[in-house]
Amino acid sequence: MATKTLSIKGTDSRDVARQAKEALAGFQPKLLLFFASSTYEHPEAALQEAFPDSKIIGSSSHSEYCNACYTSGSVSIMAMDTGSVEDVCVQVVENIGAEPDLREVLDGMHNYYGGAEEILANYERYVGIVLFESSAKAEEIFMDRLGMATDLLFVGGSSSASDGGGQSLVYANGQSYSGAAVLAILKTTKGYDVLKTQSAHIFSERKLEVTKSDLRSRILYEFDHRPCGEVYAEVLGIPQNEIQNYFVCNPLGVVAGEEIFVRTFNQIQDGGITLHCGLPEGTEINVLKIGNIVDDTKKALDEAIPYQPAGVINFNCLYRTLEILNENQVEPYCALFGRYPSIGFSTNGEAYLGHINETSTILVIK
Amino acid sequence: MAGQIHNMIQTVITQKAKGNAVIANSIRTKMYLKGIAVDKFTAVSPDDPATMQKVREIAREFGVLV
Repeated sequence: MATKTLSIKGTDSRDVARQAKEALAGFQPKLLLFFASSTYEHPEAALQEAFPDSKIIGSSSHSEYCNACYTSGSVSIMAMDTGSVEDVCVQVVENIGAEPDLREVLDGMHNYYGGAEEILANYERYVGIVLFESSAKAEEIFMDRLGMATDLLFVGGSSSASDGGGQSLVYANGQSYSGAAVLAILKTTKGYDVLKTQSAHIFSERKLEVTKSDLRSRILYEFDHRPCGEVYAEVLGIPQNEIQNYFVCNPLGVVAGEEIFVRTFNQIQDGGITLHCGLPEGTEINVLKIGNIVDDTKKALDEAIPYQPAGVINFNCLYRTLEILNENQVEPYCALFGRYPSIGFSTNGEAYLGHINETSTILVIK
Repeated sequence: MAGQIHNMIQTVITQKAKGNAVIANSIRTKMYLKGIAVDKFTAVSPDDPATMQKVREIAREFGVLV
């Protein structure tokens, strides 16, 4: 048995940890990854006490996925033993809003495994997980710097919080963190796959160049040296005073070859439009249209996972969760993931090569 | 002169990827996300000084001299 997945509802974190320990009796997790409803207080401490020999990382969540189930107010856990993960190195980067240089951190993590050359030579076995605490709103800068500091692929998402209360947090090795990122490099036993799926397609082939923006404040001002709202309305063929009605259905996308990296709108503000992910000047984007989440996710999973994986970890955008709830598509969506041992949670941003919106980033452990 | 931007981009990708196709693709994508539309630049693209400077800075961040 390489992984075990659990969905637990408990009276409190200690009860959750007790149930997890009972369910995992005889199983020796190398890594325990969990997504806990923010209504639980200090799940990291309770789980670390229950599993003192395991590396434990996690995030607070608005809602959770486990196999074919969607829940809120629960804790989803994936326990991985050496059948799937041979070793794991965990580091926490605090105060990510200060845009720290990550080279030293990543050098240390590479060296844990014998250096960057060893990792490059066995690239098909090493993969990273990144969990952001979302309040810092600094994910795009962090991912950019992470991408400069390592060639490894990092997959993950940003924490969320339950409508029932509690704080957005990330967790590592018995501690909770705000404004931080948890990094884990996994040495997998049989390899991994990474996929990214978004139900967003190109609406218009017209390329728009970002000519004025504030990356750090996530404000977009101009496309092609004209007000961005004016150009956006022109592409959609709608009056400019109606653009807010189209923000959800027609987000923006950086199209890199075959891949689309979605950037969603927030609101009109300060003479521009705020986004959920900043865009650097010079970026070329397309206006997108939203498609069918279940159909597009099925297609992506079927193409990428033609085998029985040990485990699937789904970082699914909260927007997408709300959309499948609105469309009464929870059951067919979850059935797709019920085909594998899987966990996931509703994220406030997704990570794969960069920071992304309205997307599902997925790590498949072989 | 033309095509210098294309050449600089290809140098960064080749030197960083060292023959690994997954890394080559990820470097391309990272450049897109930094605001360089990689596929727009061909061997006949004009040598825009501002874009060349931007690519040079990105190359430096990747630890590649172009």
